[in-house]
Amino acid sequence: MARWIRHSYGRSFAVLLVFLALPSFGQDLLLPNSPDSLRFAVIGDTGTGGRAQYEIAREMEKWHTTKFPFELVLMLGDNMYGDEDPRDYRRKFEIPYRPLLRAGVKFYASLGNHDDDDQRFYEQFNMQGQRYYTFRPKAGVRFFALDSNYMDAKQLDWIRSELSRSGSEWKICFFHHPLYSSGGRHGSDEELRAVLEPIFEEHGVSVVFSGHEHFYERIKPQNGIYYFISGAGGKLRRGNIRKTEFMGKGFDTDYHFMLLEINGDEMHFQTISRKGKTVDAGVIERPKEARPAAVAAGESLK
Amino acid sequence: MINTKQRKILALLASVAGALPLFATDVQVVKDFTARVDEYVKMQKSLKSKIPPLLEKATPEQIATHQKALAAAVQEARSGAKQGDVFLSADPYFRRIIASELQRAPHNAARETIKEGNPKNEPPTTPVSLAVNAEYPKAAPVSTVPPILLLRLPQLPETVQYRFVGRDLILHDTEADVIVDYLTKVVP
Repeated sequence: MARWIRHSYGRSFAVLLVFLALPSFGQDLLLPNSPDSLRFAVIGDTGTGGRAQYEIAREMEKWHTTKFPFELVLMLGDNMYGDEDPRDYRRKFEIPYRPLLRAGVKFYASLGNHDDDDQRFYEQFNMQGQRYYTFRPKAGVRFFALDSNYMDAKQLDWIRSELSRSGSEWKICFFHHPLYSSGGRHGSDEELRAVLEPIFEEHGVSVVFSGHEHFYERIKPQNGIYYFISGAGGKLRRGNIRKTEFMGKGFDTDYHFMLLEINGDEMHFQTISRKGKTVDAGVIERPKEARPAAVAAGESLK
Repeated sequence: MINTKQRKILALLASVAGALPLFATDVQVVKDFTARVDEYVKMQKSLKSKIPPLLEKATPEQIATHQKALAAAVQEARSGAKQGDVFLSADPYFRRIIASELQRAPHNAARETIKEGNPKNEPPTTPVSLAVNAEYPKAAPVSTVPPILLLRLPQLPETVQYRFVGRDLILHDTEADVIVDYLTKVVP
């Protein structure tokens, strides 16, 4: 059974939630899997080199091979806990995700509070040598990676400028610290929210992904923007989610990753646990109003 | 729509420039401090030109080799450096600004932010040694610096950042991964 929920927070959004049907779907793919759409995965707080990270990586590979050939992965920070010598790059990244890397899947990282700035030079993280950067994997979709550890004036100017220059229909931001969180350990980063949210609203950001909290949370749309927390790709803070008025769905009993598909004006998402069970799924409709698009026609595919 | 709490923080950020009494000497203090940081970065760039460059697409080995070589070069070039060489006369200015901003931030939000990733809050296996030229351990997390402070303190060049270690403020060379200078107990 499916249910439509509509929200009106200035911009019109709609999400089709299929959570009532999840038990019967179990391990089925709930995404359209259309060859002309953008298919990607999201993971956060992965870099432990531990068993759970490897199990999630194997599950991702399984879904990639047999059900959903996503082309890229967004990493939401804390890509490497502890030491970061070459052996750590292998153990905490290259070995667990090797099958995906060999299949040509590209990883795009953002920096968490456990990450050294030098990760921005690492070839497999595709950060262009920058703490914050943008890329456009497909016409109409642009991603913006931010460094939420250090949100200085220069970075704020950059994101404001890049968002206003972009004519992409889908503007998606990802960074480590969540602006909204029901986590008992950290909770919402209100300082960061105060500076970023007005920029996101002004420039038509549709979706924001963050990590830091070691669980999954889908936030009810806030001022027209969808926020997701995906921070249990290698660490889990079991039972840490508190009841808040903004929580749409929370999952803190196992590790997880997300699969997503952008197909025209719809973004489909499916969140999958370490055991391969679907814990959340739905469809977000992109707001319909016109966006500022100063250089829409001239945007480069970076 | 912006909620009341956000509105308060935004109003605070908007008013930040004129909120604190700006002493005539502050302008000169900031100018001098910025000049000393620029001098450091100039030296760092010169040292970098003598070691193999780090490209946008580097291997883990290249990253480690570059960082170690740069750290060693910085440590050698600044072997006589001591605490306060960069902050120098800006010490009271930083203390005043930080104390004032933390006090003004609603709901203790800025103080909470400083605790995020702070190595004193999340002790790493290798503790951070508070000393000029000391390497910042890779295993140690880095504190989040509240935007409210970053918008108020003198802007730093890309390769140097403010970070907190406990209540202490450090200037962190993010490419060499060494502590350039530090101020103790700046968080009241």
